[in-house]
Amino acid sequence: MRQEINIQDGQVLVSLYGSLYVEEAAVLRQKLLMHIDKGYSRFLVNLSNVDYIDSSGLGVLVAIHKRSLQHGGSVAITGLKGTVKELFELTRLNKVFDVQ
Amino acid sequence: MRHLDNEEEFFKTYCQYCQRLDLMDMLNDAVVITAASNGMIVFMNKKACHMYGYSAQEYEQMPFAGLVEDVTPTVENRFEQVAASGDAGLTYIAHHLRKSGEIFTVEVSTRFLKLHGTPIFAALIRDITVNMQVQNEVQLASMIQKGFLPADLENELFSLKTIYYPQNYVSGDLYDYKWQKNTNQIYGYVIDIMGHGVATALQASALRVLFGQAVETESSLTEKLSWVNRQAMSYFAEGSFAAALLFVIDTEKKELSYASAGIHHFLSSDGEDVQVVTTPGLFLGIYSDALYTEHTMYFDGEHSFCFLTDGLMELLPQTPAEMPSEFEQLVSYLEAKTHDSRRHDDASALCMYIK
Repeated sequence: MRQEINIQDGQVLVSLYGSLYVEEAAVLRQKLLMHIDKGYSRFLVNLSNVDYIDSSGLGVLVAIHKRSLQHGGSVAITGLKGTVKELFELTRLNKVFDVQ
Repeated sequence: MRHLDNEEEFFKTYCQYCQRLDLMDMLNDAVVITAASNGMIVFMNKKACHMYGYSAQEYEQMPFAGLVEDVTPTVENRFEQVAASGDAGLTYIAHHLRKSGEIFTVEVSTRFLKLHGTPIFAALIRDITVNMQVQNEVQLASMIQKGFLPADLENELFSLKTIYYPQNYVSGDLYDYKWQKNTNQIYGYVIDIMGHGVATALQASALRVLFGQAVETESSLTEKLSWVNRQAMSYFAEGSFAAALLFVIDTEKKELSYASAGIHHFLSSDGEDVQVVTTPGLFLGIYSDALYTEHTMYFDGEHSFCFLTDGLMELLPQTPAEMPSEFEQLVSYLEAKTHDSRRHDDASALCMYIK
């Protein structure tokens, strides 16, 4: 799993690549929560290059979603396709996140 | 240091490979060096002196055996094992003794070496008393958690068999059922908390109580799930959530109704074919106003259902036809899957055979 995190116009742009498993998820969670602690609460997560995400990966997105809401922010998801898109539909997380 | 006049001589004799003697004292683990020739301690670093309660003057007069409380294996036997272990060394758990008389549990990682031509046993020793206490508590929690689970059952209407394999002692999976004889209905649920371990076991126990209450209420499956979800919101800190599936089987009408909250698949077998039934639904603990959907399927004659958690489901083949359709064989097949080396999560199943 490779991850790119950039800030543009006050929004945290997160691009993920490959498969997101539990170990990578823990590190990603720390990094993203750190951005919230620094005052950023709007996230755009690009999953177009992610081919697999497990429940701990979903947990990271849920954690960021909950924390950002507390700070008046939001998490938008972009680039859903294939099995990852199916997972979001099956779990109904596509109704929870702002899917673009 | 034993039998040596000064620190400089010790350096020359025992520690020529150390840049400085205080390097040993900077270590956060206890180091004890014992002469292989007579079993006497030749060096303890500051951490070891503090842990055991001896001064440098005191340990210089002590055999390593003076630190050891265990009777078997004897210290001599242990030294023989270490010497035989060669470069691999030996790591073992033991009970050691402080100067105060307090016995404590340690992990000893030790090797047989020749230092400046002198054979020694070098041991790195960690006090793991607290770790062992925690481990014992977790093992006790494991036994308690297993006590929550229903036993297998066989009666004139149905057979029930279960599978329960925690990844680490305690599980984030739980399941249970309630047979309402007067209405010929069997309510059941399977819970799978994200992650595995002590915290998830607590969350699973809390959900078990909620599901137990929900099943007793006169409401639809979706209302029960929604109620459980609302009640459970406070149990799930940010990022954690639970998957669950709630069902009711009417053994007279031959009808299964179910509602998913994140457990999206279960197995259905008419004795000829196994099917994987897929059903969407949002996890518990994410959104307090989450809505759930109830589905109903009808079956003729005898029928098997297996409600699985993710840890087991992900080990199954893509093609359901590869699975045996007969109930007992299917349960045995699932049981065997729990030993798959690919398993990295709690794996559980609640399997029912309706006669």
